[in-house]
Amino acid sequence: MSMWVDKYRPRSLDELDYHKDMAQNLKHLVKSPDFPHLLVYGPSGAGKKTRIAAILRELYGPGADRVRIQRQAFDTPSKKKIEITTYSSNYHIEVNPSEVGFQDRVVVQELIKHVAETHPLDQHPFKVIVLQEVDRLSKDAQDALRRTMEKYISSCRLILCALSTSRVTPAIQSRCLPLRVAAPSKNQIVKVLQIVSKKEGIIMPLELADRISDSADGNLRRAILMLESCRAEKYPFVDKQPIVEPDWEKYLRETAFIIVQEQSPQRLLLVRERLYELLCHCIPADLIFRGLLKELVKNCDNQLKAEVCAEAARCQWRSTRGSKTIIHIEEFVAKFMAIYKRFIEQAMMADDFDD
Amino acid sequence: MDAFLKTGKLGKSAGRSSESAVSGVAGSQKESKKKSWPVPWVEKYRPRNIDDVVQQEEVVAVLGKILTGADLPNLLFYGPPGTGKTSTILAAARQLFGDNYKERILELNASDERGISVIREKVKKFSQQTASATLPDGRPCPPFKLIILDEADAMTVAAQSALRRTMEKETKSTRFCLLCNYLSRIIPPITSRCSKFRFKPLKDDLILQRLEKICSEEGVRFESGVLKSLIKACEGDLRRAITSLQSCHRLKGKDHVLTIVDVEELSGLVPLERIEELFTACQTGNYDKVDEVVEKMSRNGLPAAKVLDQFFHFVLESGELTDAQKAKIFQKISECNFRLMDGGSEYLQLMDLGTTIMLSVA
Amino acid sequence: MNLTLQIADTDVGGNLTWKGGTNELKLGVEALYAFLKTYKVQISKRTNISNVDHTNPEIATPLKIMDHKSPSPKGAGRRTSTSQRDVQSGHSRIPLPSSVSRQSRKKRQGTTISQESSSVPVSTPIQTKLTGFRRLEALAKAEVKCRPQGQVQMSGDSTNKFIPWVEKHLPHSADDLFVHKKKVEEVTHWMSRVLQSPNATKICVVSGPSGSGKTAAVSLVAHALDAEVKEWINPMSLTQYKPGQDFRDEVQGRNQLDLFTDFLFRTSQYRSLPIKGKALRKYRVTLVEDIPNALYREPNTFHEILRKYSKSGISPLIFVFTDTASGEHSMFKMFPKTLMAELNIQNISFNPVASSYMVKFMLDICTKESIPVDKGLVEDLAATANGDMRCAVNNLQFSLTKERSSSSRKAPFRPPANKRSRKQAAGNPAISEVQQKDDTIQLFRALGKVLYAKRDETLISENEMILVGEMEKDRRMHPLIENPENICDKAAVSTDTFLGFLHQNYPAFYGSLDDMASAAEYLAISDYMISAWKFDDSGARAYKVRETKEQLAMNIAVRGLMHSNNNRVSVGWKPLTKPLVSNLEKILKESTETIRQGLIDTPGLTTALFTETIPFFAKVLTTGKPYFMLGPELKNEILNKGIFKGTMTRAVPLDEKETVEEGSDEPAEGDDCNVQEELGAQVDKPKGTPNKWTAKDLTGDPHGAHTDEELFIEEYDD
Repeated sequence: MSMWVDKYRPRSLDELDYHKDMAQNLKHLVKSPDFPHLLVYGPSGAGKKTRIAAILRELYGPGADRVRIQRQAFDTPSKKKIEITTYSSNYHIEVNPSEVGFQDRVVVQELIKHVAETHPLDQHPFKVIVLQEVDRLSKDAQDALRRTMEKYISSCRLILCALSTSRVTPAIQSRCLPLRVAAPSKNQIVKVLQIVSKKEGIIMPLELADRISDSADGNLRRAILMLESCRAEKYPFVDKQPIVEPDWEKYLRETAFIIVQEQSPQRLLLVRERLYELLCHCIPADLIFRGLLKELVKNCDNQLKAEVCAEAARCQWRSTRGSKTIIHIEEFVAKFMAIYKRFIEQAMMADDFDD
Repeated sequence: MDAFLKTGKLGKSAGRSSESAVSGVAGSQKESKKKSWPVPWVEKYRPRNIDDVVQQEEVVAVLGKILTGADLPNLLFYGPPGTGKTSTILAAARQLFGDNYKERILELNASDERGISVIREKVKKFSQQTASATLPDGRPCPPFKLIILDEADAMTVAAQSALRRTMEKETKSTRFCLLCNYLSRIIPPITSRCSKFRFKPLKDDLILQRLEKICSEEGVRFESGVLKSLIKACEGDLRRAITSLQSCHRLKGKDHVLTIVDVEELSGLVPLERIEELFTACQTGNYDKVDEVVEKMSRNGLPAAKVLDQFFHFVLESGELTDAQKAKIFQKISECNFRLMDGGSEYLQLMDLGTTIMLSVA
Repeated sequence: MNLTLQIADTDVGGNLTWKGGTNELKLGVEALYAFLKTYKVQISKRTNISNVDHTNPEIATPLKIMDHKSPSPKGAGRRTSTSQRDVQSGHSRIPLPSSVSRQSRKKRQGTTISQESSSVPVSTPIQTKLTGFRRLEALAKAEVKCRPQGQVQMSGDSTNKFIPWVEKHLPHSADDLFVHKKKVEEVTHWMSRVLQSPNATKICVVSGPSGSGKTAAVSLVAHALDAEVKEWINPMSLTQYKPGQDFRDEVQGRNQLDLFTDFLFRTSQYRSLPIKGKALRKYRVTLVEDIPNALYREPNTFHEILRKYSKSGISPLIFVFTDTASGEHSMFKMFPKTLMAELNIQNISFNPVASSYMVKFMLDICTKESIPVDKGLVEDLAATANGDMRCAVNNLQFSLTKERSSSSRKAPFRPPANKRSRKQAAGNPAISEVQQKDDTIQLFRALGKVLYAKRDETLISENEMILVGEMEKDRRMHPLIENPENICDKAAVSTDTFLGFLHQNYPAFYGSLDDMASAAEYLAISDYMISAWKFDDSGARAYKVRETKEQLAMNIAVRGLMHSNNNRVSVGWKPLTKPLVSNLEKILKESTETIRQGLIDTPGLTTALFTETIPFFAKVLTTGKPYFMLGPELKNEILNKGIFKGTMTRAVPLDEKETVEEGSDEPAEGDDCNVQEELGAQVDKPKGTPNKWTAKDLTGDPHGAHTDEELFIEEYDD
C-alpha cells in the first residue's frame, strides 16, 4: 500500500492540477516532430517528477509506467565497480548520478552510451534518459554530459531535473529547453488537498486544509504527507486539529531556543550534541543552517539580523566544501552566540544608562 | 572517415536533431532514417562564407587574405560562446576546399577526447592522408588539411603538451585551428605557435538584424520588443538567441505570437519586476520583507545565479545609488556568486546579498 | 624481542618467501612446518643468547645465526647462505611494535615466532611441486586450532619471555577476559543456544575495533562450551593477483573462493582426527577471521555463500570482523542489514577495551612476569592504545623488556604528579622511544600542546610588541612555549584526523565565547582548505598541491587555536575524547543504503526522503495503525531516522566508543540490536517521555557522555 503522495499522483498531462498552460505547451512539444532535451527545474515538491512522468506517458503511452528497478554496475577507468539504482521502462531510464559521488561522470557517460546504443522499441525514434539532481553533478560530469548530449541525440533524449539552474553549466542550459516548475500557490495546494481527501473518502474541514497549506511552504508533497499523517493521528478531524510536522524541525527549533537562552562555551557543547543528533538523522547541513537562521534572527534587530545572515551564508558555503559539516555549523553557532551576547550586553548597558 | 566524424560535433543546437550540416557521412545516414526532422536553425542559418560572419572583421580580413593565396598559419580563436568561432572556421574551410571540405577537415571535440593517445592517434591518422593541391573540380587549393579542435581549453595539460609536438611534426600537411573560450587555459607553448584572434561579443544591433532575418524566413510572429529582450537575455550569444527563439516557436506552436513573457520564461530570465521587488524590499530596511521576497523567489524556482546576474545589471544602471554603495553591493554580489557556484545554498546567499543591500541603502 | 614473519610470496616450486620486517627468508614448505613445529623445542634448548640483541632496536641487528648452534644440522648450509644474504643487505632490523600490532592478524596463523627462530633449519628442497600451500594451510590450521590450550602448556616454560606477551598472556578463561561481561554473555548465550539446538541461527558476526578481544572471547567461550574451533586461514595466493586475470587456474585449478566454500561446507562436517595430546571435543565451531579477499570484491557471491550456509551448513559459523569506518572492507557492505535480517544473522559488536580493564590486565601481566612496574606508565599506555589491547600489551612488553635489559633503572617511570621531571624524562631514550613507536602517544602530546597553548610568562614576545594599529589588540605579552610548526611536524597524523581531535576537545579549554568563536572559525577554514578543490587538480601536480594544502590547513588550525585562546580556563587534567565526526559518515552511508534498499519503490531524492518522507512516514507508523507492510528492520530504521525523542539515545552510534564503562549496570550501548529493540519499545510510549538519559544530557555537564573512557593527558607544565 503506497502513501497518498504516490497513490494520487496525476498520471497524464491532462490530469495535472495546476500549471495547466505549461501542460498545454508540453502537449504541443510532444506532438512536434522534434523533441528537444529538457531541463526541468523548480523547488522541491513543486511537481517536477510528476510532470516528467506525465511527459513520458504522453510520449510512450501507459508502457512508460511499467518501471523496473535495477542495480546497474559500471566500471570506472581504474577498474573499480560502482553501482547505481536505475528505474527503467522499455522506453526510458531514470537515474540519480549524484548517488555515486564524484564518480558521477562515469555513470553519465556509460549510461547514456549504453542506452543510446540499444535501439528503442516499437516505432519510437528515441529513448528518454531522466537524470535527477543535475545541479549536484560534478563539473567533470557536466562536461561529459554536454558532450554525450550531442553525440547520441539521434537515439535518445535527456530530461534533466534540478532544483535550480544556478549550478548547471551554461553549456548544458543552452542545449536544453528550460521548463520552470514553480511551487503551487496556497490555493492550488488547498485544491489538491481537497481532491485527495475526496478520493480517500475523508471529510476535511477547509480550515485544516488552509493551515496545512500554510505550513507546507509551497511544497505539495509535504502538504499531502501532512494530511495523511494528520489523518493517521486523529480522525475524524477535530477543531484545531494539530498539524503533524517532522520531528527534526521541532528539534531544530528547540536547538535554536537553547542557543538564544544562554551563550557560553558549555552551552555550545550542548548544542554540538544536538547538531550531531540532527546530522545523524541525515538532515542536510544547508537545511540546518537555514532553519537555525530563521529561528535565531527572530530575536535580533535589523542590524544584527544582517550580521547573522552574513555569517550563516559564509559558514554554509564553507560547509559544502569541507568534510566535517559539524565544524561549520558549530562555527556559525559560536559566531551567533558571540554576536548575540555582545548585543544583549549592549542593550543592558543602554538600559542602565536610561535609568 | 566515418569513424571520426561520429566523434565530431553533431549539432550545436539545444536539443535538436542531429543531421547538422557539420557531420557529413554520419549525418546523411541518419537523415535518411529520420527525414521528417527539421534542421535546427542554428545550422540552417550558419554563415556559408566568411563575409557572412557577423562582426569579426579582423579575423575575416586575415582569412580573406588566405583565401587569395597567402599561407595559413595555425589558428587559435578565443572568445565568449556564440560569437561565431566555429562558424568562421567552417565557412573558411568551405571556401578553401569547396563543397567537399568535409574530407579535408577533422573536427575534434576536446571535452570528449581528452586523452593524449586519442589526440595523437586521430591526428596522426588524419594527417597521414595526402592532400592534393587541386580540388576535384580542378580549382587550386592549399595542399593541406585542417584539424579543428573545439573546446581546446577543456583539454588536460598533458594532452596539450602532446599536441604541441604533433603540431610541429605535421606542419607540412596539416594546419590546426583551436577554438576556446579562455585563452588563459591554453598552455603558452601552444599559444605561441598559433595566430591568436579574439572574438568580441556581438553587438546588439547586429544580432537583431540576424534574428529579424530568421524570423521573417521562418514566419515567426512576435510582439515588438521581444527580440530586444531576447538579445538581452542571451548576452551577446547569437547561438543561444537563435536556439531560444526556435524553442519558443516550437513550444508555443506555429500560430502563437511570441511575447516578452515567453522569451523570459524560456531563456531562463528573471522577470524585471522580481528584481525590482527585491530591491524595494531592501530599501524598506526590513529584514522580514527581504526574507519574504527571497522565499517567494525560491518558491517560484527562480535560479539564484540568474537573480544575482540580473541584479548586477539592475544596480549598475540604477540612478538611485551612489558609486560607493554600488561598489559595496558589487563586492557582495561577486562573493555570493562565487559561493553559490561553489555549492552554497541559494536562500542563504540571496539573503546575504539582500541584507547587505538593506544595510547600505537604508 | 619478537620478529613477526609473514608469508610474502611463494614461487611456483612451493617455496615460500617469508618476510619479517624487512627480512626475507626463503623456506620450503616442509622447512616451514618443521620450523613452526620445532621452534618451541628449540627454544627450550637454548640459553638466553639473544638478550644482547634486544637492547637497542635502533641498531640494525644482524641475526647472528651463524654463531648459534643450529639444532638441526641438515639444513644448516643452505640456511646460512640465505641469512647471510639478509645480513649483507643490511635489512635485518627488528620490527617495531607498531608493525607487530599491525601484523598481529597474521600471528593467528602461527607465523609469529620469536627472533631466535630465524635460526631455524631449512630442510631439503621441496620434493613435490603440487601442494605448496594446501599443505601449509592444513599444517597451519592444525597449529592454530587449539591456541589457548597451547598457551597454557607453554606458560612456565623457562623461555617464555621470548613469546610475545600478547600470545603468552592470552586470557585463559572468560573471567580473565578484558571484555565487558555483557558481551561475553552475549557470545556464550548465542553459542550455547546454537550448539544445543541445531535449527537456530547458524551465523554470527562478532565485530569491533582491533584488539578489542573478539577472537579471544570467541575462542574462550567455545572452549568453555567444549567446542572445537576450526579456523579458516586465508591461503596466500601463489602469484600476485592482477586485475582482469583469472586466478582460477592457480593451485591445482582451485582458487581461494573454492577453497573457502570447501572449507565451510566440508570442515564443518568432519571432526578433526584425534591427534595425540588433544582431547576430542563435543562440538565444533567454525571461525572465519579473514574473509577471502576475492569476496570483498564480490560481496554478492559472499552473500550467496552465506545463504547457502544458512540452509545447509552444520556447525555454527562465526565471523570475526574488524570494524573499519569505511572503505570496501566495510561491515555493512559484507553484511548489509537486509541480509542480516534475511538470514537472521546475529551481530555482537564489541567496544574498544575500557582503559581501566586495560590497566588491570596489564598489571596482572606484570605480576605474572614478576616485573615491578609503575602504574603511571601502564595508565599512560592504556590511554594511548585507544582501546586496542593488543597494541597496549605489545607496548608494555617493549618498554619493560627494554627497561630490564638495560642495566640502568633510572627515570622512565615517573609518577605523573611529578610533571617537571616527566618532561625531562622525555629526553630519556627509553621513554621517548616507546612514545615514538606509537603515533597515538604523539597525537595526544601534540593535542595537549595545542590545547593548553602554554606561554612563557618570563619572556616578552618581541615579535608581538611591534604590532601596531589594528593589530594592537591582538598583541600578546608572552611568547608561546611550543613552536606551532614543531607541533604540526610531530603530530604524525593526517591533518584531517588531527583536526577532528582538536575540534572535539577544544571547547573545554576556552573560557571566553569570543575566543571560541574565533577558534571555531580557524577550524572551519582549516577544514575548508583540506577538502576544497580536492578533485579539481589532476595528475602529478595534484598530489603536491594537496600536500601543501594539508600542511597549511594544519598550521592554520594549530596556530588559530593556540592564538585564539586568550582567556584559557585554568585546567588541570582534562579528559580528551576521540572525535565523533568520523563515525558520522559511516552512519549516514549505512542508513542511506538501508533506506534506499528498503523503500526502493519510492524513488526520490535523498534529501526529500530524509526530511519529508521518512519523518512523516515515521509519524504515521507511530500511530500504531497497520497502514504499511514493512519489514521490522526497515520499520526500525524509519522510526530511527524519523523520530527525535529529545534524548541522546540515538547519538549512541557516535559515542559508543566512549561509553564503555566497566562494572556499570548501564546496558552496553552501541549495539544495533539493542538500540533498535529499545526504539521499538519506546515507540509505543507517548512522545516526549523523559528517558533516563535526558536528565544527564540536559544538566549541562558537557562531559556527561564522555567521561567514561577518559583519555587523560597531563598538563605538562606547571
